[in-house]
Amino acid sequence: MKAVWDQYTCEIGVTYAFEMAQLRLWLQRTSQGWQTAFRHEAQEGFTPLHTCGAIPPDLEWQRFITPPDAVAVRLVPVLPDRSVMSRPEGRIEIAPRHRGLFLVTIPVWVRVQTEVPSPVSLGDYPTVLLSKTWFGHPSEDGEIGYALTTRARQEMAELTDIEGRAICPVSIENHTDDALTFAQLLLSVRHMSVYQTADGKLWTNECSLGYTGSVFPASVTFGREAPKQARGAKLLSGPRVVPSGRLMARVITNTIFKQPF
Amino acid sequence: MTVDTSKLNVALTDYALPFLGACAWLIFGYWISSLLARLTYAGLFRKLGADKARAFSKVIRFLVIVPFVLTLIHGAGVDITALLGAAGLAGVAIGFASQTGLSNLISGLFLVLERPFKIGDLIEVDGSRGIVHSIEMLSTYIRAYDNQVIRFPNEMLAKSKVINLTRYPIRRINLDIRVASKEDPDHVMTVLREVIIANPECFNEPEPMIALKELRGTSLDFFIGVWADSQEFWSTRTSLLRDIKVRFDQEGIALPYGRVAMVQHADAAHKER
Repeated sequence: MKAVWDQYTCEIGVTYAFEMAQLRLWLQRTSQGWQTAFRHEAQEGFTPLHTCGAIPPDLEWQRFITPPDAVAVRLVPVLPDRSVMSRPEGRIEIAPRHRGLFLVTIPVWVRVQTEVPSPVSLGDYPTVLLSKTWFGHPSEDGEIGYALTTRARQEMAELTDIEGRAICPVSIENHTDDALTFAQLLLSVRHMSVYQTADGKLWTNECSLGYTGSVFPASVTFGREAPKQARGAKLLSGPRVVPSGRLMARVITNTIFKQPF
Repeated sequence: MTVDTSKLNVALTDYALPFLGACAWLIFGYWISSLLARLTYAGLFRKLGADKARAFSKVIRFLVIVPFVLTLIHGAGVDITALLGAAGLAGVAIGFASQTGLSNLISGLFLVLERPFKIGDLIEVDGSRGIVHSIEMLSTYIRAYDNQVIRFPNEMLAKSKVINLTRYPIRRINLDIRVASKEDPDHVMTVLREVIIANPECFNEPEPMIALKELRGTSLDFFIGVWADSQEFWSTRTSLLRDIKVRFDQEGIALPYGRVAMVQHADAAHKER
């Protein structure tokens, strides 16, 4: 079976289709470039890029004029364009002076791009439509992100059916003498990359959070390469926003364990 | 023909050179004031925003240019004290004459300092709603949705209730939903919750609020409070209402109709015979 995240050479006038989770994506190479159409359906599915016989009549095509030698497209997994606020399904407490490692799976977006002579994006398409949410107090500074419910699994063996999801290892260390409730957590995924291991699993950088109390609630650091669980993984896409000194500072102040209001 | 150069020299030294010097002095003063105003604007822009930075830079320009002008007048042999006295008197007179303008000016200053809104905010004043286009010395201009420009004197804005609809990035959509009184309230609330959860533009946090507000003779009145992105307020509200209608139709939940019940009492009917 051909790899999902790969380059595909396409014929002019032939329609290709791709399914991942809720996303249904159609691609067509034209004499002057490319056109794409997409929709989301409640029923989740998965089919790698393939030639499509019947095209739904009501698709809204978007056209891209590209150089004539852009005859192939590459499908690249990228992380969402906003932060993801992940909330565990059940209550999780981390004992004082203890560390917990959680595997949060984040639905990726599909970036369609031509690469010859230089990369040209034909759009980013979310595989799952996540609800928007607000991280912070309504009348203070905060951030609009995507809401994600996570089972916060701790063992790799528990991760099944994760097609189209990137595994983000989140390490939370409680430096205080009180138990820490992991209620919800803002993951600034714009600063993370996507890697792929030989078995086809997608990974992001490791995210380490240290909880030090109420005054400076948390500090966060991102691994600079693939996490240790995915040694030798290949980089598929870099961060949307390269973390600079200022951005990192913002991430640190924003990544707090949310207090109820 | 002979030219009397002595008269020319006198004209040059007595009038032309002082005039040119005065012009140079004024240009220099203008340049210095502009430079300081620009520096003030650049220095304050990030901390205070465009509106306040502009107001402060105008004040700086004024404070710098005035001494230059006064020095020039003094150099021309005019008694500054008398002039200032006259200016004071004239100021009082003009002040009385232009009370409204002055009030607008001061109100504008307060608006800039207090900053109840900024350029680009969506505000509602006196029943008019629009995006703040500019805040001037005497008045504020807002652009309504139908592309009309509305001018509000600053004094009026200072005295009126101004609602800033986009001060915060998120805003709550408040909806009153009525269904027929025969419907099961628990079922309706469950359906409403499912509709809200299914709409990706409706925020999970802060949590949406669904409440049974009133029991009426013909209807059950529910209240929905759903948070959304302020920039997407109307599109989210519209999509939510559409989703509710579609789902109500699927679930067979009826909306209340205005009904008049006509009851004929047996004895009344008997008397009319």
